[in-house]
Amino acid sequence: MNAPDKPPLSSEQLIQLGFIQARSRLVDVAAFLDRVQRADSGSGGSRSALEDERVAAILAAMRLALDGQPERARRILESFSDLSTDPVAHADGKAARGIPNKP
Amino acid sequence: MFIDPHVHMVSRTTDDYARMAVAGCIAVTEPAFWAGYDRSSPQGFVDYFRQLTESEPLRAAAYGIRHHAWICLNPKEAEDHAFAKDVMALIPDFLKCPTVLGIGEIGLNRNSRTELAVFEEHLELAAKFDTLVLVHTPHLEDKHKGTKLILDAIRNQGSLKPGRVLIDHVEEHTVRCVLDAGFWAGMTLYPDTKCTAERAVDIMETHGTERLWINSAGDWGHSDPLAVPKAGVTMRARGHGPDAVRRITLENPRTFLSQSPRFSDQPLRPTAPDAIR
Repeated sequence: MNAPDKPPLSSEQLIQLGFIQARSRLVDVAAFLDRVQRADSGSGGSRSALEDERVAAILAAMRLALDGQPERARRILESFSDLSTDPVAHADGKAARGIPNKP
Repeated sequence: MFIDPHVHMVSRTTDDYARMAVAGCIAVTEPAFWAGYDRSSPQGFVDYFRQLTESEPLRAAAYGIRHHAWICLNPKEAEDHAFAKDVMALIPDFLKCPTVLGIGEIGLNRNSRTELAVFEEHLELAAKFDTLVLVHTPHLEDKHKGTKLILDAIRNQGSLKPGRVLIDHVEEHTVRCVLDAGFWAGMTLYPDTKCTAERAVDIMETHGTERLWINSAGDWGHSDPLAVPKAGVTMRARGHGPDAVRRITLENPRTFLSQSPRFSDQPLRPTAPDAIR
Protein backbone atom coordinates (compact mmCIF):
# COMPACT_ATOMS: atom_id res chain seq x y z
CA MET A 1 0.00 0.00 0.00
CA ASN A 2 1.70 3.15 -1.15
CA ALA A 3 -0.30 6.05 0.26
CA PRO A 4 -3.24 6.00 -2.15
CA ASP A 5 -4.94 9.28 -2.84
CA LYS A 6 -8.24 7.88 -1.64
CA PRO A 7 -9.20 5.08 0.77
CA PRO A 8 -10.39 1.86 -0.91
CA LEU A 9 -13.94 2.43 0.33
CA SER A 10 -16.23 5.21 -0.84
CA SER A 11 -17.28 7.92 1.58
CA GLU A 12 -20.73 6.32 1.75
CA GLN A 13 -19.21 2.95 2.65
CA LEU A 14 -16.99 4.56 5.30
CA ILE A 15 -19.98 6.34 6.81
CA GLN A 16 -21.92 3.09 6.84
CA LEU A 17 -18.97 1.38 8.55
CA GLY A 18 -18.11 4.03 11.12
CA PHE A 19 -21.16 6.16 11.81
CA ILE A 20 -22.62 4.27 14.76
CA GLN A 21 -19.23 4.07 16.48
CA ALA A 22 -18.50 7.76 15.89
CA ARG A 23 -21.99 8.68 17.09
CA SER A 24 -21.45 6.64 20.24
CA ARG A 25 -18.06 8.22 20.97
CA LEU A 26 -19.46 11.71 20.46
CA VAL A 27 -22.31 11.01 22.89
CA ASP A 28 -19.69 9.76 25.38
CA VAL A 29 -17.85 13.09 25.15
CA ALA A 30 -21.10 15.01 25.56
CA ALA A 31 -22.07 12.88 28.55
CA PHE A 32 -18.66 13.50 30.12
CA LEU A 33 -19.18 17.24 29.82
CA ASP A 34 -22.71 16.92 31.26
CA ARG A 35 -21.37 14.82 34.14
CA VAL A 36 -18.70 17.35 35.02
CA GLN A 37 -21.13 20.26 34.76
CA ARG A 38 -23.79 18.45 36.82
CA ALA A 39 -21.32 17.81 39.62
CA ASP A 40 -20.31 21.44 39.48
CA SER A 41 -23.81 22.96 39.74
CA GLY A 42 -24.69 24.16 43.22
CA SER A 43 -21.17 23.65 44.49
CA GLY A 44 -20.94 27.39 45.14
CA GLY A 45 -17.52 27.64 43.59
CA SER A 46 -16.60 30.76 41.70
CA ARG A 47 -15.03 28.82 38.85
CA SER A 48 -16.96 26.59 36.44
CA ALA A 49 -15.64 23.06 35.97
CA LEU A 50 -15.88 23.72 32.25
CA GLU A 51 -13.03 26.18 32.75
CA ASP A 52 -10.76 23.42 34.04
CA GLU A 53 -7.79 23.46 31.68
CA ARG A 54 -8.25 19.80 30.72
CA VAL A 55 -11.94 20.29 29.93
CA ALA A 56 -11.13 23.54 28.13
CA ALA A 57 -8.58 21.65 26.04
CA ILE A 58 -11.28 19.20 24.96
CA LEU A 59 -13.64 22.05 24.04
CA ALA A 60 -10.88 23.73 22.03
CA ALA A 61 -10.13 20.44 20.29
CA MET A 62 -13.81 20.08 19.39
CA ARG A 63 -13.64 23.43 17.65
CA LEU A 64 -10.78 22.05 15.52
CA ALA A 65 -12.97 19.10 14.61
CA LEU A 66 -15.63 21.50 13.36
CA ASP A 67 -13.44 23.85 11.30
CA GLY A 68 -13.86 21.93 8.05
CA GLN A 69 -10.11 21.58 7.50
CA PRO A 70 -8.36 18.22 6.93
CA GLU A 71 -5.98 16.39 9.29
CA ARG A 72 -8.21 16.93 12.32
CA ALA A 73 -6.63 14.05 14.24
CA ARG A 74 -3.09 15.40 13.78
CA ARG A 75 -4.10 18.93 14.66
CA ILE A 76 -6.05 17.85 17.74
CA LEU A 77 -3.11 15.75 18.95
CA GLU A 78 -0.85 18.76 18.48
CA SER A 79 -3.31 20.91 20.43
CA PHE A 80 -2.86 18.48 23.35
CA SER A 81 0.94 18.52 22.99
CA ASP A 82 3.81 20.24 24.73
CA LEU A 83 5.27 22.17 21.79
CA SER A 84 8.36 23.39 23.62
CA THR A 85 11.69 22.05 22.42
CA ASP A 86 14.13 21.78 25.36
CA PRO A 87 14.30 18.84 27.77
CA VAL A 88 12.93 19.57 31.24
CA ALA A 89 15.27 19.73 34.22
CA HIS A 90 13.63 16.80 36.04
CA ALA A 91 10.86 14.30 35.33
CA ASP A 92 7.68 15.50 37.04
CA GLY A 93 6.45 12.04 38.03
CA LYS A 94 6.19 9.08 35.67
CA ALA A 95 2.74 9.68 34.16
CA ALA A 96 1.73 12.20 31.52
CA ARG A 97 -1.61 13.92 32.15
CA GLY A 98 -2.87 14.56 28.63
CA ILE A 99 -2.23 18.27 28.21
CA PRO A 100 0.93 20.30 28.81
CA ASN A 101 1.55 22.14 32.05
CA LYS A 102 1.05 25.88 31.87
CA PRO A 103 4.39 27.68 31.60
CA MET B 1 0.09 -15.77 10.33
CA PHE B 2 1.37 -12.72 12.15
CA ILE B 3 4.27 -11.39 14.22
CA ASP B 4 3.65 -9.20 17.25
CA PRO B 5 6.93 -7.27 17.35
CA HIS B 6 6.26 -5.49 20.64
CA VAL B 7 4.48 -7.35 23.43
CA HIS B 8 5.39 -7.72 27.11
CA MET B 9 4.69 -11.40 27.61
CA VAL B 10 6.18 -11.48 31.12
CA SER B 11 2.96 -9.69 32.09
CA ARG B 12 0.63 -12.04 30.23
CA THR B 13 -0.77 -15.43 31.12
CA THR B 14 0.05 -18.70 29.41
CA ASP B 15 -3.52 -18.66 28.10
CA ASP B 16 -2.56 -15.56 26.12
CA TYR B 17 0.23 -17.50 24.42
CA ALA B 18 -2.31 -20.21 23.57
CA ARG B 19 -4.79 -17.69 22.15
CA MET B 20 -2.07 -15.94 20.15
CA ALA B 21 -0.96 -19.28 18.69
CA VAL B 22 -4.52 -20.15 17.70
CA ALA B 23 -4.85 -16.72 16.05
CA GLY B 24 -1.73 -17.42 13.96
CA CYS B 25 1.11 -15.81 15.90
CA ILE B 26 4.45 -17.29 14.87
CA ALA B 27 6.87 -14.91 16.61
CA VAL B 28 6.97 -12.17 19.20
CA THR B 29 9.65 -9.73 20.24
CA GLU B 30 9.64 -8.40 23.79
CA PRO B 31 11.38 -5.17 24.80
CA ALA B 32 12.54 -4.59 28.35
CA PHE B 33 10.14 -2.20 30.11
CA TRP B 34 8.90 -0.79 33.40
CA ALA B 35 7.30 -3.45 35.59
CA GLY B 36 4.82 -1.04 37.16
CA TYR B 37 7.18 -0.42 40.09
CA ASP B 38 10.79 0.68 40.39
CA ARG B 39 13.32 -2.09 41.00
CA SER B 40 15.17 -1.58 44.25
CA SER B 41 18.56 -2.66 42.92
CA PRO B 42 20.41 -3.33 39.67
CA GLN B 43 20.33 -7.02 40.61
CA GLY B 44 16.58 -6.92 40.05
CA PHE B 45 17.33 -6.24 36.40
CA VAL B 46 19.56 -9.32 36.18
CA ASP B 47 16.57 -11.41 37.21
CA TYR B 48 14.31 -9.60 34.73
CA PHE B 49 16.79 -9.94 31.85
CA ARG B 50 17.10 -13.66 32.64
CA GLN B 51 13.33 -13.95 32.52
CA LEU B 52 13.35 -12.28 29.09
CA THR B 53 16.15 -14.42 27.69
CA GLU B 54 15.65 -17.77 29.42
CA SER B 55 12.08 -18.26 30.69
CA GLU B 56 9.96 -16.53 28.06
CA PRO B 57 11.47 -18.30 25.01
CA LEU B 58 10.55 -21.62 26.62
CA ARG B 59 7.05 -20.48 27.57
CA ALA B 60 6.45 -19.23 24.01
CA ALA B 61 7.94 -22.35 22.40
CA ALA B 62 5.32 -24.47 24.15
CA TYR B 63 2.84 -22.90 21.72
CA GLY B 64 5.07 -22.87 18.66
CA ILE B 65 5.84 -19.15 19.01
CA ARG B 66 9.40 -17.85 18.56
CA HIS B 67 10.35 -15.38 21.31
CA HIS B 68 13.03 -12.70 21.03
CA ALA B 69 14.01 -9.95 23.43
CA TRP B 70 15.41 -6.44 23.53
CA ILE B 71 17.50 -5.35 26.53
CA CYS B 72 17.79 -1.94 28.19
CA LEU B 73 16.93 0.21 31.15
CA ASN B 74 13.54 1.68 30.31
CA PRO B 75 13.18 5.48 30.48
CA LYS B 76 10.72 5.36 33.40
CA GLU B 77 13.54 4.16 35.63
CA ALA B 78 16.22 6.37 34.11
CA GLU B 79 15.87 9.46 36.28
CA ASP B 80 18.53 8.25 38.75
CA HIS B 81 21.63 8.49 36.57
CA ALA B 82 23.96 6.57 38.91
CA PHE B 83 21.45 3.71 39.18
CA ALA B 84 21.03 3.77 35.40
CA LYS B 85 24.75 3.44 34.84
CA ASP B 86 24.87 0.39 37.14
CA VAL B 87 22.07 -1.26 35.17
CA MET B 88 23.59 -0.35 31.83
CA ALA B 89 26.82 -2.05 32.86
CA LEU B 90 24.83 -5.32 32.92
CA ILE B 91 23.54 -4.99 29.37
CA PRO B 92 26.56 -6.13 27.27
CA ASP B 93 26.49 -9.64 28.76
CA PHE B 94 22.82 -10.05 27.86
CA LEU B 95 23.36 -8.74 24.33
CA LYS B 96 25.27 -11.99 23.74
CA CYS B 97 22.17 -14.13 24.38
CA PRO B 98 21.04 -15.99 21.24
CA THR B 99 17.51 -14.56 21.21
CA VAL B 100 18.39 -10.92 21.92
CA LEU B 101 17.93 -8.65 18.90
CA GLY B 102 19.23 -5.39 20.30
CA ILE B 103 18.69 -2.43 22.58
CA GLY B 104 15.10 -1.55 23.50
CA GLU B 105 12.75 -0.13 24.38
CA ILE B 106 14.87 2.89 25.09
CA GLY B 107 13.69 6.45 24.63
CA LEU B 108 12.10 9.14 26.72
CA ASN B 109 9.20 9.24 29.16
CA ARG B 110 8.87 12.79 30.55
CA ASN B 111 11.56 14.33 28.33
CA SER B 112 13.97 15.10 31.16
CA ARG B 113 17.66 15.87 30.78
CA THR B 114 18.66 12.71 32.64
CA GLU B 115 16.36 10.53 30.53
CA LEU B 116 17.94 12.07 27.44
CA ALA B 117 21.47 11.43 28.73
CA VAL B 118 20.64 7.79 29.51
CA PHE B 119 19.02 7.44 26.08
CA GLU B 120 22.17 8.77 24.41
CA GLU B 121 24.29 6.30 26.39
CA HIS B 122 22.06 3.45 25.19
CA LEU B 123 22.54 4.65 21.61
CA GLU B 124 26.30 4.43 22.11
CA LEU B 125 25.91 0.86 23.35
CA ALA B 126 23.83 -0.03 20.29
CA ALA B 127 26.45 1.51 18.02
CA LYS B 128 29.29 -0.24 19.83
CA PHE B 129 27.64 -3.67 19.59
CA ASP B 130 26.06 -2.96 16.17
CA THR B 131 22.56 -3.95 17.25
CA LEU B 132 19.07 -3.03 16.12
CA VAL B 133 17.33 -0.39 18.23
CA LEU B 134 13.70 -0.22 19.39
CA VAL B 135 12.67 3.20 20.67
CA HIS B 136 9.74 4.09 22.92
CA THR B 137 8.25 7.54 22.37
CA PRO B 138 6.53 9.30 25.30
CA HIS B 139 2.83 9.35 26.05
CA LEU B 140 0.17 11.98 25.44
CA GLU B 141 1.35 15.60 25.70
CA ASP B 142 5.00 14.53 25.81
CA LYS B 143 5.03 12.52 22.56
CA HIS B 144 5.44 15.36 20.04
CA LYS B 145 8.39 16.96 21.83
CA GLY B 146 9.91 13.63 22.88
CA THR B 147 9.86 12.26 19.35
CA LYS B 148 11.74 15.29 18.06
CA LEU B 149 14.33 15.06 20.86
CA ILE B 150 14.77 11.36 20.11
CA LEU B 151 15.26 11.88 16.37
CA ASP B 152 17.79 14.63 17.05
CA ALA B 153 19.72 12.43 19.49
CA ILE B 154 19.95 9.56 17.00
CA ARG B 155 21.11 11.92 14.25
CA ASN B 156 23.68 13.42 16.62
CA GLN B 157 24.98 9.96 17.53
CA GLY B 158 26.07 9.76 13.95
CA SER B 159 26.78 6.12 13.25
CA LEU B 160 23.39 4.43 13.72
CA LYS B 161 21.65 3.77 10.43
CA PRO B 162 17.99 4.95 10.45
CA GLY B 163 16.92 1.74 8.71
CA ARG B 164 18.08 -0.24 11.76
CA VAL B 165 16.09 1.87 14.23
CA LEU B 166 12.36 1.55 14.86
CA ILE B 167 10.57 4.48 16.48
CA ASP B 168 7.52 3.06 18.21
CA HIS B 169 4.11 4.37 19.31
CA VAL B 170 3.80 6.88 16.46
CA GLU B 171 0.49 8.66 15.98
CA GLU B 172 -0.86 11.11 13.43
CA HIS B 173 1.30 13.98 14.69
CA THR B 174 4.60 12.08 14.74
CA VAL B 175 4.53 9.47 11.98
CA ARG B 176 5.55 11.81 9.17
CA CYS B 177 8.75 13.10 10.74
CA VAL B 178 9.82 9.56 11.65
CA LEU B 179 9.31 8.14 8.16
CA ASP B 180 10.73 11.20 6.41
CA ALA B 181 13.96 10.76 8.40
CA GLY B 182 14.32 7.19 7.13
CA PHE B 183 13.44 5.37 10.35
CA TRP B 184 10.97 2.54 10.75
CA ALA B 185 7.77 3.44 12.58
CA GLY B 186 5.59 1.35 14.86
CA MET B 187 1.91 1.93 15.53
CA THR B 188 0.76 0.58 18.87
CA LEU B 189 -2.82 -0.63 19.17
CA TYR B 190 -3.52 0.30 22.76
CA PRO B 191 -6.60 1.86 24.33
CA ASP B 192 -6.81 5.50 25.41
CA THR B 193 -3.16 6.50 25.22
CA LYS B 194 -2.04 5.26 21.79
CA CYS B 195 -3.72 4.19 18.54
CA THR B 196 -6.97 2.41 17.69
CA ALA B 197 -7.07 -0.05 14.82
CA GLU B 198 -9.26 2.38 12.86
CA ARG B 199 -6.71 5.17 13.23
CA ALA B 200 -3.84 2.82 12.39
CA VAL B 201 -5.56 1.99 9.10
CA ASP B 202 -6.05 5.72 8.47
CA ILE B 203 -2.31 6.24 8.95
CA MET B 204 -1.50 3.38 6.55
CA GLU B 205 -3.85 4.84 3.94
CA THR B 206 -2.35 8.30 4.37
CA HIS B 207 1.35 7.46 4.66
CA GLY B 208 1.64 4.06 2.99
CA THR B 209 2.97 0.90 4.62
CA GLU B 210 6.66 1.10 3.78
CA ARG B 211 8.80 0.88 6.98
CA LEU B 212 5.66 0.63 9.11
CA TRP B 213 4.49 -2.09 11.51
CA ILE B 214 1.76 -2.57 14.08
CA ASN B 215 2.02 -4.10 17.53
CA SER B 216 -0.10 -4.65 20.63
CA ALA B 217 2.38 -3.60 23.32
CA GLY B 218 0.29 -5.98 25.44
CA ASP B 219 1.39 -5.64 29.05
CA TRP B 220 0.00 -5.41 32.60
CA GLY B 221 -2.29 -2.50 31.69
CA HIS B 222 -5.49 -2.46 29.63
CA SER B 223 -4.20 -4.05 26.43
CA ASP B 224 -4.91 -6.88 24.04
CA PRO B 225 -2.35 -9.44 22.83
CA LEU B 226 -4.68 -10.17 19.91
CA ALA B 227 -4.70 -6.53 18.78
CA VAL B 228 -2.57 -7.27 15.69
CA PRO B 229 -4.83 -9.93 14.11
CA LYS B 230 -7.89 -7.87 15.09
CA ALA B 231 -6.40 -4.90 13.22
CA GLY B 232 -6.06 -7.22 10.23
CA VAL B 233 -9.82 -7.76 10.37
CA THR B 234 -10.33 -3.99 10.54
CA MET B 235 -8.12 -3.60 7.46
CA ARG B 236 -10.23 -6.12 5.55
CA ALA B 237 -13.41 -4.29 6.60
CA ARG B 238 -11.87 -1.11 5.24
CA GLY B 239 -11.39 -2.68 1.83
CA HIS B 240 -7.73 -3.77 2.02
CA GLY B 241 -6.86 -7.17 0.60
CA PRO B 242 -5.10 -10.09 2.24
CA ASP B 243 -1.76 -9.09 0.70
CA ALA B 244 -1.88 -5.70 2.42
CA VAL B 245 -2.77 -7.33 5.74
CA ARG B 246 0.06 -9.82 5.35
CA ARG B 247 2.50 -7.00 4.56
CA ILE B 248 1.77 -4.99 7.71
CA THR B 249 1.29 -7.89 10.13
CA LEU B 250 4.00 -10.26 8.91
CA GLU B 251 6.30 -9.15 6.11
CA ASN B 252 7.21 -5.69 7.41
CA PRO B 253 8.20 -6.84 10.90
CA ARG B 254 10.06 -9.78 9.32
CA THR B 255 11.99 -7.38 7.06
CA PHE B 256 13.08 -5.12 9.90
CA LEU B 257 13.80 -7.85 12.43
CA SER B 258 15.69 -10.03 9.94
CA GLN B 259 18.43 -7.42 9.94
CA SER B 260 19.48 -9.29 13.07
CA PRO B 261 20.83 -12.75 12.21
CA ARG B 262 19.32 -13.95 15.47
CA PHE B 263 15.75 -13.35 14.35
CA SER B 264 13.76 -16.33 13.16
CA ASP B 265 10.10 -16.88 12.40
CA GLN B 266 10.61 -20.34 10.99
CA PRO B 267 7.96 -22.87 12.08
CA LEU B 268 8.51 -24.13 15.58
CA ARG B 269 6.96 -27.39 16.77
CA PRO B 270 4.77 -26.65 19.82
CA THR B 271 5.97 -28.56 22.82
CA ALA B 272 2.66 -28.33 24.68
CA PRO B 273 0.01 -28.86 22.00
CA ASP B 274 -2.45 -30.33 24.53
CA ALA B 275 -2.72 -26.95 26.18
CA ILE B 276 -4.09 -25.40 22.99
CA ARG B 277 -7.00 -27.80 22.59
